[in-house]
Amino acid sequence: MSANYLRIVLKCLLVALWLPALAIAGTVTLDQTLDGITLPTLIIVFVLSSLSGATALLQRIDRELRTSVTKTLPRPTLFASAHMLGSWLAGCLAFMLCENQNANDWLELGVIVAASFAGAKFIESISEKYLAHWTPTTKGRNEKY
Amino acid sequence: MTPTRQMPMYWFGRLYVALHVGVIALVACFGQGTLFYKVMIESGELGFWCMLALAVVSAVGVVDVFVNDFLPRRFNLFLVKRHRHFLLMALAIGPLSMAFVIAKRTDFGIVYASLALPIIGATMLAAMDVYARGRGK
Repeated sequence: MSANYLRIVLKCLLVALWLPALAIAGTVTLDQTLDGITLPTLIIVFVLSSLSGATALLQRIDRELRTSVTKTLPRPTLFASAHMLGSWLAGCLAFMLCENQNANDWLELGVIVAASFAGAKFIESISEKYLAHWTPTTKGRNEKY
Repeated sequence: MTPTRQMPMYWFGRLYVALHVGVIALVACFGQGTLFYKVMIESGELGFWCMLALAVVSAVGVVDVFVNDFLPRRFNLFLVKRHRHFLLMALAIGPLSMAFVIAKRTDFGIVYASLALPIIGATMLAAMDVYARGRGK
């Protein structure tokens, strides 16, 4: 089996995996999931995922400032908004999933924090890969800025 | 005790945040009759271990202040200094986790005000720390 053929098979498998996930998601309604959730809880989840995303952002800023010659951050707004959007989206999805599954409060908390951090890191890796011209890069490559 | 090396001005803030969060964690673990303790007992055994872990993190924060800011240079917690922003963000997320459990189980909204100060303080200190270290201060 050649590498190209294997890649195509893996892509087909990934697409096929979405179908059962979509079928499960179709049985869940938003009203059912958010039933009994108060406004303070929602605000705290938002702040929680923001702080978790900010942790990933600070880690990145720390790395950038260490490697940068000018000690400045290029395009900080784009930089920060990408991280925060990733963390909010992942945190919101994790919260809904845990609420739907009636998870333990502390477990839910851990999942939200971990998902928000992972969401921010995911956006970071995507932006490094595809938006390298607009976002700062790491590993010493940002010396040109 | 006098500082033996040039300290950043935010050492007091770091010490205050670490002590505040440590007290919150210890009250939640052992303060029978308090709201934190009741909520934590209701939410299961996992909460006790989370709060105990938070107490350990705050203890690391206090040790970091004394070793890295007050003791001579030969005493140095390099790893803690290098990743201090993680420590401070953990100190910010800790009280917020308590607020999250309180919000899910009770209606005591006023409690959030007492938890807001260490959360905001630790977040600001983490940002300041990263910028100060990035600029070689």
